[in-house]
Amino acid sequence: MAPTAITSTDLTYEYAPGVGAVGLDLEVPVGEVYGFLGPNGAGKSTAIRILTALIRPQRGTVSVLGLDPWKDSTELHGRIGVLMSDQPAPRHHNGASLLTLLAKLRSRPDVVARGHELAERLSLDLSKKGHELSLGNRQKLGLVTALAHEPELVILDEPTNGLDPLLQREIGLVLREIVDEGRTVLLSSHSLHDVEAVADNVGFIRDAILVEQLPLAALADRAVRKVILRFDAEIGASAFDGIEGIETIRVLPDGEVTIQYRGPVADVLTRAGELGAQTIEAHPVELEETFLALYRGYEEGQ
Amino acid sequence: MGALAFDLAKSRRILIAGICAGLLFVSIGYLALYPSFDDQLQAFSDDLPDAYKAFIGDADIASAEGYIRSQVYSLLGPLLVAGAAISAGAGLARTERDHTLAVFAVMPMSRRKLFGSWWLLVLLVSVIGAGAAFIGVVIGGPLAGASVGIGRVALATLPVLFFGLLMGSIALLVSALTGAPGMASGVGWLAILASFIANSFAELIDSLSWLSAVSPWAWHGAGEAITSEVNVGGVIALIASSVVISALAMLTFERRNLHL
Repeated sequence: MAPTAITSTDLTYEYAPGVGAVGLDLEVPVGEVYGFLGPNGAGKSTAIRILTALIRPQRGTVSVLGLDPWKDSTELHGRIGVLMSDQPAPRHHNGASLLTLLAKLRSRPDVVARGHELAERLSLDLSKKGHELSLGNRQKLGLVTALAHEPELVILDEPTNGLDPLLQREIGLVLREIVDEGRTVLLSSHSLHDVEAVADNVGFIRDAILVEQLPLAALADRAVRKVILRFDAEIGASAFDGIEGIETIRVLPDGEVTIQYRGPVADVLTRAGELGAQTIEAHPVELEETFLALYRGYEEGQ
Repeated sequence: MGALAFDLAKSRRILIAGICAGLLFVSIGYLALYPSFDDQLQAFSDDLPDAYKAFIGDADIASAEGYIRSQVYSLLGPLLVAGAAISAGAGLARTERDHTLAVFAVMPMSRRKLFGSWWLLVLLVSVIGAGAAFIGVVIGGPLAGASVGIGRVALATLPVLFFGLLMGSIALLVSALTGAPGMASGVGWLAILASFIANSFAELIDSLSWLSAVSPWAWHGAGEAITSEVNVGGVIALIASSVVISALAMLTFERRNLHL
C-alpha cells in the first residue's frame, strides 16, 4: 500500500445538518497532486481547516504526515504550506517584508531567497503593500508564502482564483515540480478544469460528503464519450442493440447517428463497419461533463 | 513570539505614536501652564463640588502635585493608556475577522505562543503609553513647580501601566472568546466606564464605599504616589486580575476553532 500524506476516517465537522464536512474518509498518497473537488460551500474549506489544525473535528480520526493536526499542530505547521481560500495579505506588509517576517517565524532564513525566486516566476511585485494588491496578486503572494519554505505537504484552497490562464499553467508546472521532488499537494477547487492538468487523484465532495475518490485516469475511463457516425441512409437505433456501455443513441433521417457510450469503443466501431458507416467522428473526453454527471448521478441517487 | 509581537507593534505605530503624543502633550503642556493660574485654582478648588473632586481623584488641584494628579493620572492618563491597550487586545479579533490571522495561525508556533504575541503587544502598548506619561511628568513636573522625585513619578505611573494591561487583557479575552473586534473594544471600554462609575459612587456614597474594593479605577489610585503612598493592594489587584484574565484568554484561544 502506498504511503499516505493524509488519511482520515469518518472525519466530521458539521456547522448545521449537511453543512461542513461529514464522515470524510480521505486517502491522499505521498508524492501526488490530489484534486479536492466540489462546488462552493460543499465542505472543502471545512476539511482543510481540520487538516491545518484551525478547527478540531467533532468526530473521526485524521493523520497528516503521520501527525494528529490538533495535538501536533506546531510540528505539522513546520512541515506544511497552506493557502486558505481568498486569503488576504496583511495590510501593513509588502511582499518582501512579509517574507522576512515569515522567515523569522519559521527560523528559515532561506525562505526569503526562495520566496523572491517564486515571486519572480509568478510575476509578483514584492514591493507592493497588502492593501495595494489585486485579488490575483494576493493569490500569488499567498502561494509564494505557502511554498517558499518547501513544505512536505502543500494545501491550497482555490489557489487559481483571479489568475489568468498563463499563470494557472505556471502554477500547474510549479505543483508538478513539487510532486516530482516527492512532496505532496492537496489542491482544492470548485472546477475540475483547474486540477485535471495536474492531479493524479481526485476526490469529489458535495453537501459535506465525499462522494467519490479515484485516480484521474479512472475518471477518464468512466467518462461518457461521444461518436458521430454517418451512413448513406437512415439507420434504426435498434441496429446497435446488444452493445454494452451505450448510454444514448440519437438517429437523424439523413443517416447521422450520435452515440454516447462508456468503456471501449471497439464494439461500436465494429458494428458501424458492419452497417457500412461512411464517416466516423470521435469527440475528446470532457472530464468536466463527467464531473457534472457524477454530481447529477449522486443527486439522483439521493 | 517576540518577532510577531514586534511586528504587530510596528503595524500599530501610528496609534502608539498618537497616544504617546497625547500623553506628552497633556503632561508637559498642561503642567507648564500651571504657574500662570495656580492662584485662581486655589479659589476654584474650594468651590468645587464633592462629586467633581471625586471625579478627579480627590486631588488637591491648588498644589502643583495635586494638579499633576488631576491632569495626568486621574482621567486622561489611564484612559489613553487603557484605550490603546484595548485597541491592541481587540486587534486579535480584528485579524480573525479580516482573515489575516490565517497567515500566522499556520506558522510553526503553538496557539499559546500566537496568543502570547498579542499579549506582548498589549503589554508593550501599556508600557509605551505609561512610559510617555512618565516622561511627560518628569519633564512637566518641574515646569509646574512641583518637587516630585523620579522614583515617585515612577511609582505613580506604574499602576497606570497595569490598569492598561488589565483593560487590554479584557479585550483580549473577548477577542479570544468571540473573534468579534467590535465586541472586544466595546467590552473593554465598558469595563473602564463601569470601574470609573463604581469608583465615583464609592467616593460619594458611604454605603457604596465597598465598590472601591472591586473597581480597577480605584486600584490604579490616580497617581496617589505623587502626594502620598502607592496603593500596594490596588497594584497587586491590578496585576493579579490581569494575570487571571490573560490566562483565561489564552486557554480560550488555545481551544477555540478558528474559522479562517
